[in-house]
Amino acid sequence: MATKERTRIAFPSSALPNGSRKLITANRREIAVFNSHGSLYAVYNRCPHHRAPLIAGSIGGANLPSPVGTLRRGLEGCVLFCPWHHYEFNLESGRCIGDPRLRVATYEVRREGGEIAVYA
Amino acid sequence: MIIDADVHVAPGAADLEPFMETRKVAEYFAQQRPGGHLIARAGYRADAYPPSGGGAGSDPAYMAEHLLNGYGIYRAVLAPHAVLGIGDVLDLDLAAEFASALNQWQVNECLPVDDRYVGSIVVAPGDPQRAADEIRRWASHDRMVQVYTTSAPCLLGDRFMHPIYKACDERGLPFLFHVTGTSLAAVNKSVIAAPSTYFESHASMCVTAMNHLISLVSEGVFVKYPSIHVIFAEFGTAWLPWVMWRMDMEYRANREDVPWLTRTPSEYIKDFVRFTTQPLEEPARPQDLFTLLSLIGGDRLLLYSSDYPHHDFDNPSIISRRLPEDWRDRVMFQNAADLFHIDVPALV
Ligand code: FES
Repeated sequence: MATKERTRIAFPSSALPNGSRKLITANRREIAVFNSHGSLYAVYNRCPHHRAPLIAGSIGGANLPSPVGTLRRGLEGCVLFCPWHHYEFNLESGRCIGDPRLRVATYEVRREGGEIAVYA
Repeated sequence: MIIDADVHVAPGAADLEPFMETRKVAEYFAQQRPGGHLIARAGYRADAYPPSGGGAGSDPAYMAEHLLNGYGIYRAVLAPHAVLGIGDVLDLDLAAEFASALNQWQVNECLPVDDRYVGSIVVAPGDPQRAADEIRRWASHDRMVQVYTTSAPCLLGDRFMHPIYKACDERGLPFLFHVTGTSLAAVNKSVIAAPSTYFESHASMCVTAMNHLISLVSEGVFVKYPSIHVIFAEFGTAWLPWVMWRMDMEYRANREDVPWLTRTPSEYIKDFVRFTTQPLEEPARPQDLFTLLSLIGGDRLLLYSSDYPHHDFDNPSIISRRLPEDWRDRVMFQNAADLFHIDVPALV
């Protein structure tokens, strides 16, 4: 099967310091790129629910499945909360934690020399 | 075309202070009890804060840009946010003065900003006579299109509330009852006890609406006040078939309790009551909701609402696409245009 050519979009690493986010455009699609505690993530900038701009979401952890009446935190820095209805998206997989049928597209993102490169 | 039936302008204390006659806005906020537990995250869309500073919904000019231009809204019915919990303010004079301030603020500071805004006459339900005076004060303003309150001190059909309906009936104004944000117990004292989490509270919103709707019909509000319409805002919709069928069954069996009703309860609901859509239920197959609501003539009952700038905003383009083709115009604007007497240009 032929694989589609991917577009590489790169910018200086200094443009995305720890804790920040950046909106880029690739093939007319907006992509939200996040630097969460040094880990880089890139997702399509539209929530699959009601199309909120995910760039305005907040990043944190999640309460993982736990015995009744107890809380167990996890996935710290790896969960994106939609700025509208607060659906939680795992930034690694793009899946919504509350409904795994919902998924936001994720893109490969890595450090290359002094740059950050997103492959879309 | 879109008419948005529930848009929350949210003036800050400093915005309202000039419109308070004898009291301070801070006194109101100290007594307002919108609920016992707060949502874990902000209750506003994170992208709805105006660049000029201030809270989400506080800048009508920014809201016109972000909401009205952003989504192509033809008319937006303003429902000031601070009214949530107004019925729980124990100092009735304070609540009434605050309601008046909100009305004057809308007329002075919102309506002139954009022709697409129409306002709501806010009333405090704890003193219905004074509320009726407030209604009569604003009723002839052609852009104040409905009466708006939350958290009634009794079931809505109770005759305590009737002075409000009498004024609405006289002036041909719909009466909108809005869910209170975070506490069911604050909305309706007949709920057995307050739920413990926001999840639980938010999932239970329909419970209070069922009580109030049954009360309105049973107590003969629509018989006494035949020009009124009541709008339930943000209580959901999918529970309606059950209430209608159950009430009609009760009517067959126990009509002697309510002999003033000359038609079945569901007929009164269809003629006199409307429901805003947000947050519209989302079954796994979205169309299942409309299959259900089609059994009760849902296309005539629903008014599209976004709930902007609250975080659980319903995007009009998503809702519109989801609606059955032959419901779309009615729900997105026509039902609201009929109710609020809003002229809409003929669609070609
Ligand atoms: S739009 Fe993202 S959770 Fe609803």
